[in-house]
Amino acid sequence: MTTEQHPGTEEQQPEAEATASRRKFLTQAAAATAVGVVAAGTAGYAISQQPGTTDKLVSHFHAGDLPIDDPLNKAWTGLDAFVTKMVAQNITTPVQATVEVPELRVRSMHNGKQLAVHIEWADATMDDKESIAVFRDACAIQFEVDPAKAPSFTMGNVDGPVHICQWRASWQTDIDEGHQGVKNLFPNAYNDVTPEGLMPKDAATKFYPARVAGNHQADHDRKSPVEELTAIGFGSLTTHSTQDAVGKGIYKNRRWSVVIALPMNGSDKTKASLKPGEARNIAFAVWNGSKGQRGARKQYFPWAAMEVEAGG
Amino acid sequence: MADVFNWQLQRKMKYQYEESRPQKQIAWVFDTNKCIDCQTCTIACKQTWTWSTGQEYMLWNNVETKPYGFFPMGWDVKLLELMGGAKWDTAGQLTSETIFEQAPAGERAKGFLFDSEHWAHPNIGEDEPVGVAEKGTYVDKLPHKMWFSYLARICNHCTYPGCLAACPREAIYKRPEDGIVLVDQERCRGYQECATACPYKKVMYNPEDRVSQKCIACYPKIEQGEQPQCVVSCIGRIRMAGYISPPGVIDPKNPIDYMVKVKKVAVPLYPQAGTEPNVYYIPPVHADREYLRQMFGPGVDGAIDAYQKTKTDADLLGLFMLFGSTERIIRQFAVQGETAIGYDEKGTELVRVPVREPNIVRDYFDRVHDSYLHNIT
Repeated sequence: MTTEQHPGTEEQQPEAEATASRRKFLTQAAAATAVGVVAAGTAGYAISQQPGTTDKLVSHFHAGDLPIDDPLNKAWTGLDAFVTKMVAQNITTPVQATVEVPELRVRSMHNGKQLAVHIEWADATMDDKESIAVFRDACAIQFEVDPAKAPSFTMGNVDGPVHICQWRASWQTDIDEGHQGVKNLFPNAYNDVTPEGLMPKDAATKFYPARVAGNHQADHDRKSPVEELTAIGFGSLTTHSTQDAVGKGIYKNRRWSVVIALPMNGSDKTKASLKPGEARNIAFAVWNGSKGQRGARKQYFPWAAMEVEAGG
Repeated sequence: MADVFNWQLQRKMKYQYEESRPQKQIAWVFDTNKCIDCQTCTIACKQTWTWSTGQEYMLWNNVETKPYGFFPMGWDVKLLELMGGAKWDTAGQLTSETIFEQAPAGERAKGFLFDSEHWAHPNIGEDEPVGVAEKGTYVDKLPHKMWFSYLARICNHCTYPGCLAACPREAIYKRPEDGIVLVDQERCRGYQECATACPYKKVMYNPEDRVSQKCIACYPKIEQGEQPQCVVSCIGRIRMAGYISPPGVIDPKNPIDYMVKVKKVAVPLYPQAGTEPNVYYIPPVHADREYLRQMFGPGVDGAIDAYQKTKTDADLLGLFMLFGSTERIIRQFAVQGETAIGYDEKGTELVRVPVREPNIVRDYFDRVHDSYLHNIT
């Protein structure tokens, strides 16, 4: 892949210009990746036929609160699962050469206001740490912002943005046990003087540029294990300005069970709108941290039509 | 991949992006012969930039002993093992492949990622010589049979950075105004592809904030026309920061051009990786020459020859005296008789120093303090 403009030529922008800058970046990045992208649906990707599975992905209507915080609830496990045969990402560099997570079992429910997707997969190790050469398990779902634009499953394209919700095991542990940092990863690390040890919090935070820049990666006060993002092609993934998605992941019996839930009417036009009685495309990605998977090194499943049951 | 020109290899090579040289390119010259491994540079950098939580292990600047010292552990051994030996033809052109040309299918560069254990021993191998000195061993000529040497290292702010090429998010950028390479702390998502691709292992992951970070060339100082902290703190005065002209352009009044392109006394570190690093080293004259050729490429012999003639080279000697003489970036220099003068970009004089320090010998007896002196020179 060769971009039309050298990325180094773009300067960091002052705060006020951040939005315009991001738009410019997204435009460039997507333009660079749009070439060579092949439209693909689920055709050609085999769907398993096992007991308790279905070849039709349906978001079932469920009156009342959805069991978002309880991925092991029978309301979930009692549903037939749509099984996705995962594909190693080999379209953009760096590629994933081997399939480390062969399939996901997907279920969905909605209550007219919130839509939740339940994703289950086998993983021999629970990888919930992000550290030096250490990567975490994760999964993500992707929707079209505007189905009429028919965005590419490859994280959208310049005219067709996508709405992505990523869950990470590391963020789940942040939520469950508090921010996981040096004190957890390297309990014996010693630092004789730190900014926070010398000055009030507000002043000390200035020594943490990723936090000052508002990078979601560096958020020490995480509210959800799920991050909402927008993208218009490979490399353009950007944290959404509003975060409404919630979720919960549990690792049990060498399996991950993860629920990702989002409002059905996105808070703005740059998010997916999911209406009861209509079908929407959904795509999936999954990462196995202990296999070094992060970013483009992942398994994906391209657009699958999901019927959102009437009701609510 | 695009075809770009790498002047250190004397040929075109494959790179992720088109050639796009900055308006100015920051560059350094380090004289390894003067380094005493005091680590003042390391501490100056540490205290300025990497004293936060998550940066405990980070040394954007470090000084390691060659051949048995390294930070991170074994980085150069691993790089050479991965790349194989460099091959140069007699005209000084690289005939072996760079990290970009050796990239496995589906990768942007050939690289490796070290775990935390590799970063946990910053001073390993310090002052270790190449062998055990037997009784009666003495050093009588250059190069020394028994040797070690010091290698001070920062980010090379490469013309073709491995880190920048490898980032799938384009979160690393090279500033057009001065060529400084930075990790965008807003866009980085901690994939560590940069840390994998950098052949010099100078991008480091911050496990507290989950983003990668690296030497920023003290850009707030550079923007004010001042040299970085590691340069101005150097008590051995081994360093000079400035700007190097692009390939094909030589300004003999520019200190960096004069050393790198005119006298060719300073050479790049592991140029065979293909990133066109912008820290240039005056090689240690006493170290094993074969080792140095592997480390600095084919220019090393000429560099040592030029360095050894410094005593009779008034301009070069004068320029060396300007190292560590001012906090400002010297853009032009001149040697007039026994005086070396440094100027800024407008031609305003910044500093003047004697080419030879006057030799003063005092009396053993200090009449003012009514005492005898131990040190009279």
